[in-house]
Amino acid sequence: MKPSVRIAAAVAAATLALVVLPATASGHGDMADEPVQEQGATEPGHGTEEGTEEGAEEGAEEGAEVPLIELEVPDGAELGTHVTLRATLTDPHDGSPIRGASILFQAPAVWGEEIRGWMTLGVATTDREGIASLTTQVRSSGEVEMRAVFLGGDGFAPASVSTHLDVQGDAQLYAPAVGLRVPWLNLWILAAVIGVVWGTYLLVGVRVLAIARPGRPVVAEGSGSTTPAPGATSRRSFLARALPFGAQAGIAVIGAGLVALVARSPRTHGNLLAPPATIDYHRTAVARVGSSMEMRPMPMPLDRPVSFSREVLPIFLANGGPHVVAPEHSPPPGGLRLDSYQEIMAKEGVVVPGKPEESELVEHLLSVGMQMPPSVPPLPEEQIQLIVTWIAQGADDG
Amino acid sequence: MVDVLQRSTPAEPSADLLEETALAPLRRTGPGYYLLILVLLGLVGLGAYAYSIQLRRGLAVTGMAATADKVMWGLYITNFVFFIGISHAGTLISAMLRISKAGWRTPITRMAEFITVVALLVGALFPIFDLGRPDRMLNVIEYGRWPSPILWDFFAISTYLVGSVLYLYLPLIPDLATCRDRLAGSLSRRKAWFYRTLSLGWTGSSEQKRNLAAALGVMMIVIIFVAVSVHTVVSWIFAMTLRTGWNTAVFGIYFVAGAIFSGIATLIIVMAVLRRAYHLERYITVRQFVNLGYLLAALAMIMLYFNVSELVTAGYKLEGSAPIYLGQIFTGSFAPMYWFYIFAGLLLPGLVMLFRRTRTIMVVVITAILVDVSMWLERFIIVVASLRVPQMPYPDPARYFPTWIELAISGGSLALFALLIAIFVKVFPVLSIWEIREHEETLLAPTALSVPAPIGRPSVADVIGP
Repeated sequence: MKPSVRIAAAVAAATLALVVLPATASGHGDMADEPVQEQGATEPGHGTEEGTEEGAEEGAEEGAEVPLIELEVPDGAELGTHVTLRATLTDPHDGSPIRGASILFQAPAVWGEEIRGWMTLGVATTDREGIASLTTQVRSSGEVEMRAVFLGGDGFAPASVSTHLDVQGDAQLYAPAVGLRVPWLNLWILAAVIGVVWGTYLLVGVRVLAIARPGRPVVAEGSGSTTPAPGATSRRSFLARALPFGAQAGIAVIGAGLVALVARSPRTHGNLLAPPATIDYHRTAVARVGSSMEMRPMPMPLDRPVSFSREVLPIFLANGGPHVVAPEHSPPPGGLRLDSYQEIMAKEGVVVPGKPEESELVEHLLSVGMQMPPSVPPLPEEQIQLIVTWIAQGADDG
Repeated sequence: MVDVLQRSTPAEPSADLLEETALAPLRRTGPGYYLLILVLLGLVGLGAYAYSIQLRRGLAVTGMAATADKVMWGLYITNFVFFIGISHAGTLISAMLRISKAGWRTPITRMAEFITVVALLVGALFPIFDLGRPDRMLNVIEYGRWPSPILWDFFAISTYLVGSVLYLYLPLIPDLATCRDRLAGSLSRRKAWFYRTLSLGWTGSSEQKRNLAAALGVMMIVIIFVAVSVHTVVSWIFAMTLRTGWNTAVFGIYFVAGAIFSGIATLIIVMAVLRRAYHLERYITVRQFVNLGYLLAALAMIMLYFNVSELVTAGYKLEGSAPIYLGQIFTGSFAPMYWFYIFAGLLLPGLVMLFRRTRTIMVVVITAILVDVSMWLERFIIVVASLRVPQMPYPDPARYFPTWIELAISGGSLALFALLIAIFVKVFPVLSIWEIREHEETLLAPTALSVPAPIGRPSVADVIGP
């Protein structure tokens, strides 16, 4: 198992373990010469202890310090708006910030009536000041608990902190983004069609009432006599006379009810009585880490010559993930292999000799949104600096 | 062909005979009738018992449970579509014939109209049977969302039910007055009150006739739109999903045509039964059967066209799961049903109407029975064969076979349908007396129509036709 795969698996297992199983996840195979939580490590080969996943509050392995973690949330927020959560991680001894650590931001979630747990809103990495921030949409109102979790690592034990965010408002946030909006083509047409049909029934009912109206004595045709027909209206009881009116009222009530059902029907999609909320409902709850799509600044090239085989290639081999797996196992993503000089140079644009700013490789190492390797903290700046230097010096196979 | 279409020379006006024939079932009840009611009640009771088991133990007692959630609609929804289809017998056919002033319709409109009401009442039960928790039917009202086809169905069926009750009732008013007057001596107090109340004090005055004609004139047009909408919406319950076999634009018109088709077949069967039971031979003649037979044949050809059109477009492209679906209806487990439907249900009606020798009451009735059976099978194929098409890579398609509970409930419902009709013909005149009389009078006096009617007072015949 290659390191990045192992790391991804470890992070997934750790998250799962934290939420579901309070069990330790250790012994990640014989290649575990690196700490699981180190994710590429500030200093490769550094022999720090593995962080435990026994639940953040459970303390740590022997010798691991519990860092100080603080969570800062806004004083209040409106339902559906975006808020920035800010967690600060510091060393308990000297108060120095811990950088490069992953912080999970979580909120409680309920599924159905019985399943409850912490939903991870997103993951952010602490910066130089030990601050990790996450912008997220608040999607439930009231006193919403927010939690920041440090899974441990780099000599520190897991830690977590929670606080409350006061969320106001009761807007309906869900509305599907699918469908066409055609002007004038709306529910009123359906309501009108139903109304017209039932209105016609009412008109027919009026005719029935007219038939039932007590009329003049019937003059039998031709005879001139005024004998009332048998069963003439006067003999009909009050109930019998009221019945047609009752039926007519029934038609009116059912018809009006159906129209009302159309008018008020959809509770989640905006209806005739309440148009869809104007809030930006197209955005999902996917958290945006920091200010996304930014590029970190490119490190300055070193003054000394850099060797590809001794200094640069080991970085690729250690962090290249599927890009350094032999192709018989699976084709590398994007067709890019990073396990030899020839393979790296074979794909145009990946490395532009002498121009690190135009090389896609460097772009991906520095990008926030399209960062490589993905899902783990970026490569240490020293390693990126080595790669940049190597490209700036002409990208020789030395 | 010509001889049956020619208007037979009417006998002398025999109002008394007509009334006597039409009112005879209301006057006298033989032991056979009570026996029939008893048998039907027994069957309905069996169905009710089966339903009580289903209520207690849930849908687990149906064959749908054995297939996990794959075939979630079985016999119940098949019956629902079938009965709603039958309901088109009435109103739609009677309205179309009334608009086209087809005089031969007059003895059969009443039957057609009450088939509609009864079939709707029975058909509307099936979605409730299909719910493990029938009380959740109220959720349609409480939480109904218009994007749901179930809500469309609710709108359409309730609108159609009220409309067809109105459309059944309007032409009944003069006949109820006849009952009130002619049966006066022989009625119990309660029955007398019943006819007196429902006949709305009808005396046959010209104003009443004018109002009746106006109301009927509106209803016979509105009801066609409503009836078409009902079966279109029933088809959309299927066609609004992305399932193989259902996902087709032809479904709306296909279901409407199928509904009229099975509706006519049911009308022919009911006509034959009542004609025999109540000696209506003088009024319901070979002419009615053969004319309805022609309609049946025409609709069979339309249905055949829709089948070819739908299956050829699906079979040519063979998109997605279409090979599985078409395979099971053409050569697979549904093939016997499907080919029975094509040959006995669609080709046969066209064939028998081609030859004078087969244009007899007996043949038309047998054809109608075959059509009803094959149309039921067609609905079963639509519901179950489509649901069997796997949506997930499971090794086997689901197997569905109805349990005795489902069969008993379905049988009980069919018995309920017959029971309601049997009760109806005991309470209301089975022939539309006044319409037949007007028609006979028109035939006797061909010049009657040329006599100008008083201005502003059109007669019923002017508006509704002979």
